[in-house]
Amino acid sequence: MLDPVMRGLLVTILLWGAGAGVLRAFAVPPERCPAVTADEAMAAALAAAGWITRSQGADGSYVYEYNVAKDANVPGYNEVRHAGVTMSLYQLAAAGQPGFLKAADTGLGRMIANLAFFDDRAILKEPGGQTYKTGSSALMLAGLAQRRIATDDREYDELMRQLGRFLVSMQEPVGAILAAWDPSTRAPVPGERSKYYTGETFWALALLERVLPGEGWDVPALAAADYLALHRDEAEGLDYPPWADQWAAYGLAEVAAWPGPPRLRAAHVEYARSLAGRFGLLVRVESRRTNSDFSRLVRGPMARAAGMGTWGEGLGSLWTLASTDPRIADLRGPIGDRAVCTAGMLVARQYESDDEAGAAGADGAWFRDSLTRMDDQQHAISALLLAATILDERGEH
Amino acid sequence: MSDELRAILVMLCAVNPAAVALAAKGRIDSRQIATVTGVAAIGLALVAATVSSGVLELLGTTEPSFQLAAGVVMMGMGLGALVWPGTNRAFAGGWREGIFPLAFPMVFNPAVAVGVVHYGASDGVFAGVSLAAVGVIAAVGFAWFAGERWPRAMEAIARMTGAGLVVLAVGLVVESVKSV
Repeated sequence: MLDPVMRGLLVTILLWGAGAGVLRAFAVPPERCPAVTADEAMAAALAAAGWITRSQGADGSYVYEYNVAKDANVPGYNEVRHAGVTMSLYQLAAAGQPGFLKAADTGLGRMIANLAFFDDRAILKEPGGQTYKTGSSALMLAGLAQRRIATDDREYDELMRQLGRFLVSMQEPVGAILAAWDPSTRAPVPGERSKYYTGETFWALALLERVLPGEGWDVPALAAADYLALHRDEAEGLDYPPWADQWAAYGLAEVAAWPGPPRLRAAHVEYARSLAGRFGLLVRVESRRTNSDFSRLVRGPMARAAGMGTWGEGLGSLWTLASTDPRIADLRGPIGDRAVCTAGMLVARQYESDDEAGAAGADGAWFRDSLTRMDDQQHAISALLLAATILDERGEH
Repeated sequence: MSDELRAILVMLCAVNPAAVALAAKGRIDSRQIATVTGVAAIGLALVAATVSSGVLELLGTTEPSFQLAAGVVMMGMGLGALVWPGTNRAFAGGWREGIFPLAFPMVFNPAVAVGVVHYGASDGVFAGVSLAAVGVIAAVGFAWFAGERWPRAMEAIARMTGAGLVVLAVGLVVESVKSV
């Protein structure tokens, strides 16, 4: 029979053990970041680009959504996502992989065929839509800028200016970008904003300043940066700020790389730091998720590749920013770690036909509940490219 | 508030000297017991701080994620002190009660344990042990000085310290959520 003191000690130790178990299960589960090298990240990006281009239509369109269980395409299309996918293929080319340039140009051809011209501006139309989404034009411009960086071909310089002028005409005095243009009134739809489009436009204009410097694109780009850093989350009622905006991160990194004195203000850097925290949190949470029933119950389902890709894009961009701007350099290490962790998860979760019987046509894609959409591959490609740069710099080939 | 001052406050509130004094019921009444309690508690803190990085590695978790868990534990302990300041325990008598239950788990309680691991992993073993030592010395000294006197005042201070720990723990959680 134990005396009361020993019994007390035993009970205390048991309670501590039980508490540690509960803590382990719910608060500090293991974070799994599969090891990845620069070569593996690049190979995964190329495999994803292969999935995108394998079934590309003669008109330049891509497979929008595909169900691997049914081996069937899901109907639907989205011009903003088309522009984004094309842009990611140009990013691949700009990263020294020109193999998909032809497919990207075919995708660009579809967008050029869908352009509307108004005064000195160019707008990417939404086929069948009553209004045209600003995001399509912004991502088309970003894609053209990536193409210019990859090829130094000046063929589309004037088109870039026309798209840029359209985007600037959509900017409100506060720096926000209006979401839609109405062809019936030949004017922006007043008061309508999108949480994506200001960031997309910011990045597109920042890229335009890089490829066509001295033409004044920096002013509207920085106005958009001000809005994103200071007003957007509150003005647009976005919960739990900062909203995880990888486009804003791209834009901030691009502005930091402009030649001359630093153009980012303290508020921009503070915003970048808060974005890094948000992306980092999202990656940490995702790295704890597994496909087990317990994990799905307690931590929710694993994120789709589009979501993870955007975090990787944001982190990769902020790593670039932290490599340039000493005001955020202290976060360079952890930002790089999280970006690499994202890439490791993406590589580990990418579909390979060896995994299951058949469906070789699904190779290179990412599936959740048997579905993949083209932006899963788009964002994953962009994230993997940025992670490959980080891994390369770390000597992890 | 500087990070250093906040860390000291966190560990002081985690130890909760008034709650220790209340629970010790005047048992820390000699230099011998005070020394055994203090040395044992600091020894446990030294072990925890030394293995802190290894603990995080073993758990496969990052510093910000452990900080969140530490914040959660501290919130629980703070709420516990707020509601039930001081605990009833059996004492065996003699110097060994300086180890159990005085050093462990009254002084070196779960909040102190996670605090030491957190600060040990993020700021180094010396920082983790030093912060714990500040709290331990304060608790042992306070309990020795107070004895069984002023129980109502001790209870009130223990509750306030618990509330303070909850506030500081919320800060730790928020900071961990914002960390990369």
